[in-house]
Amino acid sequence: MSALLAVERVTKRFRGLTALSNVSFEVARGEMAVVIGPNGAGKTTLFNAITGFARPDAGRIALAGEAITGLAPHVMVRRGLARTFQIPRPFRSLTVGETVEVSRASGAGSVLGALGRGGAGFAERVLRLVQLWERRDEPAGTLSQGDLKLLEVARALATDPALLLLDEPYAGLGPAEMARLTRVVMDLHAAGLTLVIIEHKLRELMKLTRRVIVLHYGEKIADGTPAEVSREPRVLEAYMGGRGGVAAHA
Amino acid sequence: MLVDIVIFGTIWGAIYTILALGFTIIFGVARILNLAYGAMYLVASYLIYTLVTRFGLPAVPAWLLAVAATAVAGMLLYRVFIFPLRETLGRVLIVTAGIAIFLQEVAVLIYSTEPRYVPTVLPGSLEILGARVTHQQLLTLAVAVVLVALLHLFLARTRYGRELRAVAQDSEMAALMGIPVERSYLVAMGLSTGLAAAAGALVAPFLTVNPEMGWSPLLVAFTVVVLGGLGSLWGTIAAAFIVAYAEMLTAFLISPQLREAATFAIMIGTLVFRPHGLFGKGIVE
Amino acid sequence: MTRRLALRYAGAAAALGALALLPVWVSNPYVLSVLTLAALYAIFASSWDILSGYIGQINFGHAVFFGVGAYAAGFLGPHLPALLVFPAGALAAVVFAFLVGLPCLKLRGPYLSLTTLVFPLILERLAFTFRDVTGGEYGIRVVPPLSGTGLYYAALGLLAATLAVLLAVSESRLGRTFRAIGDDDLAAMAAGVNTTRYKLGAFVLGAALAGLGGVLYAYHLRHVGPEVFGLFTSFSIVIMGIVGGMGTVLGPAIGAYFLTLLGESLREIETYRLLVYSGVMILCVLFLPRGLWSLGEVLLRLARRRGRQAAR
Repeated sequence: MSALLAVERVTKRFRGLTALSNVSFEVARGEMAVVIGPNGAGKTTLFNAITGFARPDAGRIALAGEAITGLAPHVMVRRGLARTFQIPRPFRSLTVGETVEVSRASGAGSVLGALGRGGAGFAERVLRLVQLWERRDEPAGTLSQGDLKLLEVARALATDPALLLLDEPYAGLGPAEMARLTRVVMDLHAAGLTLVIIEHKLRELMKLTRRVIVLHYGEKIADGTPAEVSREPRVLEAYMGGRGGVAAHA
Repeated sequence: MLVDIVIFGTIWGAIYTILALGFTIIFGVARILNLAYGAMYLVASYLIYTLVTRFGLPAVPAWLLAVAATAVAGMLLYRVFIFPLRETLGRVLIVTAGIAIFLQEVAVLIYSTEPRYVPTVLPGSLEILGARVTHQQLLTLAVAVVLVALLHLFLARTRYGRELRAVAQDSEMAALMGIPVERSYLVAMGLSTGLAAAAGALVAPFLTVNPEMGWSPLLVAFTVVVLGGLGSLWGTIAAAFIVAYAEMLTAFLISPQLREAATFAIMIGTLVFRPHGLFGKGIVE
Repeated sequence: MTRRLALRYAGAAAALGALALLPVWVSNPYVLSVLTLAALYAIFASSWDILSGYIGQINFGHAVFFGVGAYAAGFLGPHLPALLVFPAGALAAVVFAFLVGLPCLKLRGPYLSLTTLVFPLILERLAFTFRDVTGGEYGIRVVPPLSGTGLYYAALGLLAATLAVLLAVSESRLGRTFRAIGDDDLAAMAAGVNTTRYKLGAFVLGAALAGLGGVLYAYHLRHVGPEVFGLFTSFSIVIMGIVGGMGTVLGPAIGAYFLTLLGESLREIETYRLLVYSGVMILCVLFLPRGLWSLGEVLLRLARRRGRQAAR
């Protein structure tokens, strides 16, 4: 049982709309999985359901074999599950450094220990990883969009998770920032952190990942390597006429 | 006594429906929790009192004038105090609280804390199955029913009404579809205040008019919305009647002084045990 | 410690010191009484600010806590040694903090605020109804073990303690967590913070301080009645906190002194008091969102700029 995250037949309905329908998949420890799908496919809802921000109407979610369905978000964090938000939610009254200090470390992961970087404090290590250490005294509200996204990642990392969920981390980033983010993602992956990433801009990630899960109208329509998924007819259909879909990057 | 409870419960249920609908409209459409809502009820009551006793206006024109004037006042209030602050809901909350207190104190200033009495429109009473009901109270019930029906028609059939509903569902989508969202907010405010005013003017003849009267309607409206949710007209009506009957039961069977306590108990109880309201479309996300 | 922080501590200490030395020159009992009341309101407004200013959930029911403290003084005063009445008042307030907090703090923003409004009203109603116990609308007479200058120093001492707690919290991880919850509670949850527990903690801390203040309040008035739970008291505190500056540690205390002294100068027209308060508050919310405190900061910045220009 090497699956760290097990999602079983999760369903979520909102005001008559079925946002998620019988979604099931497993993510192994150390794996990096990318979740893609057109807008409104239910990707963020999936994250919300996994991390406790939305209660599934049906189905079961387990982390390292233990059921976590419907637990409160802060409890999820204690179990080692962290997430970022698609649109960054900074703490405007705090500085960059203080933001990271607020995070409660779960003790469930040990990835940051593995990253080393010379015995510095926890917060320092996290901030150095996303290259925000020099800006630690600046108010979080003054950061650029790209830096805010990296601060989101830092805040999530500071909880020392075993599983990190990133919600469209690349959205709104310029090329230099994207490169920075990719570096961070690769470092984390190399250190053994399990990652699940929602993304639209696949060019970057497709080169890096070996596992793609495709959602469409709340259903999982494909699950496999980038090559397998891009040959799947339902995926091609879903992205037909879309801007730069899976097929273009296989 | 059972008859008393049923009849008065029905009358109050109708009034509470109006109060709750007014509250729901501004909240559902503009997401504003207007703490000055009860103050609008207060203003209308005092206006009717002044128009009838100091200016000698007959009841129906006084009522219409009071409601219209208060509705306009509500829209002005929105434009001057709420619109500039709409980015920060916390500040909107505080400013409406400030306005509520301010208006209450103005009432004290002008009319003192002595309770005032508004003469009834229809004098006399009749007996229904052993309970004594005044004609005024029955008139109130009738007017309330008519108002609810009119509101329903407005929302369902008129252009403004449809725009309001669209904005309540999804203000971004409505804006994209070309609906003037700010105008909808203004209309919603006028409607909301108008309903509070109507309730205040209706109730004035058989309750006393005093400066502290604004808080009960606010809390009752909130309780009904908590209980019945924001979604449906029937949910609101049902919740309003539940609250009204609970109050009447408490008043008649336990003590009239504890009438409000029943409402508070329902509010707190619902929030603790069933935060999504009775029908699942409650205010707690 | 940053320079700004040190300046703030110094400023607060200086002001408190000046207030403490005042009785040396001023012996007019009326002035002393007004200043005592101002100090008490400063305690109430500052303790209110812990939840409302930091965590940003505006609590309209703070009167519950000091009212309960005041009634504790009324009930237990004749039966307990003076020194035990204080912890009893604080304890009573804490109990109510749980009673009020558990239903309300699960809610967010405006719903929380409106619900907190209900509780003082309930207690006011209960105080009227159970007249054998509470003395109904006449209340209970309180024989204070402290009065005059002694009471003034007790109030000042409690104020100093309250401000010290606020300052300590604001500079600590606890304070940062509070502010994070106030900025974005969902993000705070995502960072692993149990926001309900922190809100409750802030609530309880504020309640305990207010409870202690309530005991002193009862001693000051020599009386406690249902009006302590009235909307006037609840709103006065909120207004003082907002006018002074929410979340600024010293702001609410400043607001309390400002408004109490303003209110006293309008004493002849007592009925105008809340009218003026609410009018000032509306203006503040519209034009000076961070209250008098921010006004002070603006003036300080102007003064510094003038100073630099003069130096050239």
